[in-house]
Amino acid sequence: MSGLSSGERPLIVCVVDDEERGEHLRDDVDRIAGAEVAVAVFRTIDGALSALADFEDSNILVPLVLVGERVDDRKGIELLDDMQDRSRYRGTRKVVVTTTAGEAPERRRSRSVVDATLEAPWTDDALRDLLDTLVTEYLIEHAPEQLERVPDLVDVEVLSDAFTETERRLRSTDRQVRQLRRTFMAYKSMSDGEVEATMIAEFDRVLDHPSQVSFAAGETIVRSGESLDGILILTSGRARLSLVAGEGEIVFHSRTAGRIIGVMAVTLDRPAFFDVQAATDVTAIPVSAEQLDAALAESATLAMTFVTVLLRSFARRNLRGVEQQYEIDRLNRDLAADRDRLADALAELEQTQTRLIESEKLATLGQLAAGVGHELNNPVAAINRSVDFLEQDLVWLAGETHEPELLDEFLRRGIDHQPLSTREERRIRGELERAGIEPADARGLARIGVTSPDEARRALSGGAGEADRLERYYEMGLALRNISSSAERITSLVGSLRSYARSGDELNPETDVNQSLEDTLVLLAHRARDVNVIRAYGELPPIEAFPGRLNQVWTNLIGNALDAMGGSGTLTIRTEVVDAGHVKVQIEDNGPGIAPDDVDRIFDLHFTTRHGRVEFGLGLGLRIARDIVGQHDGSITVASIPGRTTFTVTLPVRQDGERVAVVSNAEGETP
Amino acid sequence: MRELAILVVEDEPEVREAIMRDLREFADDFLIEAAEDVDDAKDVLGQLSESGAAVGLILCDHLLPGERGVDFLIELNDDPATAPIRKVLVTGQAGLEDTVRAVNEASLDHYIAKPWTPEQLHEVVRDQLTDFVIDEWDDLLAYVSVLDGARLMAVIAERGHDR
Repeated sequence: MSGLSSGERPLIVCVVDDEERGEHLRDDVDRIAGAEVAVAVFRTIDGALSALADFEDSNILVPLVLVGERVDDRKGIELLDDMQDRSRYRGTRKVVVTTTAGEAPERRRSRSVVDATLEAPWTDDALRDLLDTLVTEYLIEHAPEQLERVPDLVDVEVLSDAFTETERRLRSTDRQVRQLRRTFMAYKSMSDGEVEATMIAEFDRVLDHPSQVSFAAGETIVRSGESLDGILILTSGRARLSLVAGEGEIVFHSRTAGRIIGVMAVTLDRPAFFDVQAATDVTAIPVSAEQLDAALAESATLAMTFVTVLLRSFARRNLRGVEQQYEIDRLNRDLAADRDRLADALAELEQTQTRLIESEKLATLGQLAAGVGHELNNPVAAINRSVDFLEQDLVWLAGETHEPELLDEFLRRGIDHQPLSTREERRIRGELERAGIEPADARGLARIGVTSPDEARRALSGGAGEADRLERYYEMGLALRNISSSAERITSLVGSLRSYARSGDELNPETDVNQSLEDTLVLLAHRARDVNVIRAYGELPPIEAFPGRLNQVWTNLIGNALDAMGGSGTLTIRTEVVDAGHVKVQIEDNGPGIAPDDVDRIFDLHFTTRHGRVEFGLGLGLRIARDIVGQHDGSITVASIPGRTTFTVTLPVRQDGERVAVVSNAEGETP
Repeated sequence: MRELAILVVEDEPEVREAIMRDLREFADDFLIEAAEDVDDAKDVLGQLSESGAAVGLILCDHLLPGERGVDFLIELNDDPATAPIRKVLVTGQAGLEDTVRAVNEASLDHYIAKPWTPEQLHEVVRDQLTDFVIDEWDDLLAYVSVLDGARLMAVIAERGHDR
């Protein structure tokens, strides 16, 4: 098999089972083809196939295969069929070597893959003829550069014919190319009108002056979704392409509609995409799909102009589409920006409304509180005076009895009574009982502040009824005291209420910050009963401030702290002078603290509307506090760790007159 | 017969003293004890129980230092020893929610809003103690003159028939 891979010589393959004929064939082919061609002889079809399969990826050319009509009981044609299926050997010239003329019809009929037959025994001339013609043909087709390597085999006639044909084709192609170039160049330099006029004239000519259709301006030419069986060539007027979208109509192409209508639908075989309307009065040539095909085949000029018009038209439509997309994007961006601005404005409006409602509520409450406080002063004054009168009268009455000193003493004791804890009272009662005082007497005496057995015995010395009388006097004293102390508490509450809710919201140059904190604490006392309140008030200069608004700040901050501690804990209120121009208030609680993520947002307004009702959350109070501190040109900060949350408010001692005027006019609202 | 006690739980001295004073007309027939917070009240309950007295009624403020009145009453209601005690909440500040809880969970028997009138207080105390002795005690005759005599007589008559 070494001969098979001999360089890059073309290989002629022979397949015959008869050994003698095989040798004969090899010798003859070798001699005729010359040294530049290799010859391989196989005894079996399978042997030949496996060798050819091996060569498939090499660059060895197999110009010719000669196969016996029958090889080992198999038909030689099987090999040729197999080779025909392999692209590498499809061009290989295929020859069947026959022995009997009688089988020729079958050969011819069945196998178009067979290029020629060689009848054995063959003559030298016949074999040479066959080899020359077939190898030359193969080489011209597949490797013309190899032709000169096999001068002995080249068939001059075949070669000459091939040259002639190639030359003819080249000339023809060249002509076509020149024609095309000329045409394109010509159309390129022509205006739209000229190309369109040429196209319309050509349609008119080729279709033999077809009748035209006309549409009045505004008339519908094609409806979107309609199926079309042809196109329209507009000969005059303009169309516009549009689509109905929602309640409106989007015009896609007006200037850019072009002269040819319906191409998209016809070529894509789909319903019309656009609504087509006559933008002006329109006349048009209707051209069916078949007419169009025929016309384009018939006239190169028509084809060229049609394509040119179509290309220009689609290029414009495409450009317009891009512009529209660009415009849509820009509008979308504008819309999104507008929407965001609106959403912001709405949120701001809601916040402002909420704050207005809140400050309105507070103002109303303040006026109410001030009014009620004022009204309460009269009855409280009357109570205070009545207590004094009663006391004087009781002392006088005691003097009228036979034991004035003792009664007077117990009246005084009642008045000066320091309330004992219930525990203490029970302890004293126990002591008296252990000293031999009757339990019923001990109970009564312990109540009226008799603490020692001696004292008890003295009080009981007056006999039956005396202890009762003493107790009554004591209790009268106690009642007077309770009336006084309760009235005092009312007076103090009213004072705090009025100071807190000072009706006028005016700048007070003498605002006492400690006092305003104290007023707030008094009013929040009901929420701070279990809270240990540490007052670390420093000496502060009076500052220029809106006292009513400051009270709101303290209420929010202290209220927050109380809420955070869940009703019990330690609240520390610290005030101090920072420098000559500023004072500082710190409100600190030992509640669980604010989550680090929330610290930065704690002053942000966040409230929810639920069931159509605005709920004021933590955020609102702190936002209001920040706004008010801001109005005073102060600052508010928060520092929080679990177990210690400190709000620090720094306020200037003096206000900037101009800025304050603005703040005053804002009536408590953020500018 | 066991002594019957009334316990007043109120932290503000003035208010506590006023209630005690208003309860004076019951002082001849009942023990009246005061406590200023929940712990103190528990001490008193312990001492009364040691001395053999029965507590028939608790008048409890709602806002107390440390613990809410409602929570204390709920606690008493959960203990079989103190559950029968009549419970009255005295407050000016309990919200509707707390009151509802008191009724549902502490079997609150009555609710007195501050400021009270002596007549109102007397009526509530008399009614509640009457309920208590009817529910808990067999011998009602001793209370006919100090509590709601008509109701007690009716019950006595009914029980007499049963026997």
